[in-house]
Amino acid sequence: MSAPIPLLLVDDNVSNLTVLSAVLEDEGFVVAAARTVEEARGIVRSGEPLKAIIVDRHLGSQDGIVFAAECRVEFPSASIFIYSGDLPEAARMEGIDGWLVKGTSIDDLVERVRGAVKSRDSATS
Amino acid sequence: MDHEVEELARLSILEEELSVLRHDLRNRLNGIRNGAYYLKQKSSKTELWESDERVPVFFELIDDEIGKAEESLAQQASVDHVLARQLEDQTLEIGVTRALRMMAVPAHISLETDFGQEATTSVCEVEVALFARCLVENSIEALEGRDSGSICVSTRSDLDGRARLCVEDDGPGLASNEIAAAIQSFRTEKPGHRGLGLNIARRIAQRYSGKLDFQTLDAGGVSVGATFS
Repeated sequence: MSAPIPLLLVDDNVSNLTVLSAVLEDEGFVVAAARTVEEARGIVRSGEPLKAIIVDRHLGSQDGIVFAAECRVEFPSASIFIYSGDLPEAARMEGIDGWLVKGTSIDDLVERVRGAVKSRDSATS
Repeated sequence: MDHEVEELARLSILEEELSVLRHDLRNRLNGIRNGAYYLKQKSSKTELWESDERVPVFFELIDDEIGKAEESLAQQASVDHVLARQLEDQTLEIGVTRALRMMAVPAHISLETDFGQEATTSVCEVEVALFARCLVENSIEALEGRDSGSICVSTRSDLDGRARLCVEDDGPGLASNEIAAAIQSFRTEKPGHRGLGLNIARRIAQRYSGKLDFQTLDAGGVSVGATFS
């Protein structure tokens, strides 16, 4: 069995956050969940060794893509995804590994995140 | 009154309202789908899964129904199909001039235009006019409560030859962390406003494969614009 993957999940929708956290934990991720950018910043600054970060596109009045860019600075080798009901914004993908459209099956979501983590691990080892 | 621009403005407001509804409902449907997935995974390992054949069928049914609801949302909860866009090769200056003709600018604000060298682009004049109007109205709001202020609307080709329209003002400007809030629908601190102008402008910019960009000016104020291609 592969090693658990530490992952930060940020979503201001409590139902989505609760359910997706449970699903991802079942799939072998160790999930740190945050409802706001402030909570997420606290987790990022606590020094948790995150390998994957999934950020909701719209976080109340804050922009998930801007927070993802902050995460890229803190975790240059983490796999960072935007999770959104909107279509990908091609013009704003710099530093982001992928765009997960809400409604994507969990199997696809898990496969994409695992694949990205694996390819970053291979690149750095 | 410019009826075509007013009609597009009304449809654009409706589109923003529908966009918020689509986003909210997609979030909720996504929560239901993920919850059903979790329950399916758990129950598939129990005796119930084998003993009652309706259980796996009902999970399939939930997934199918959510998929159909998402499809209906995307196809029907939108005004895209009634937006009649007439594209013509022209300069952005034409749309800007049309917008400014119908606008009332408060006396304490000076409004200038700076039309530079600009190649023609395939655009819908009404959309360009509404885009310019939204940005100028945003600047006028930014200058509310001041004794004086200035706004400059400019059009020109950028270094890649793409037509660019931008509106600058010498108001208080926007910090980088305020930009996301500024373009969130229905969020405004200004009484009497609905907080949709920048959103409508952003959606128009996206139709031309562009995005709305913001630049804080050294002298104070902000420049908001987009390229059209």
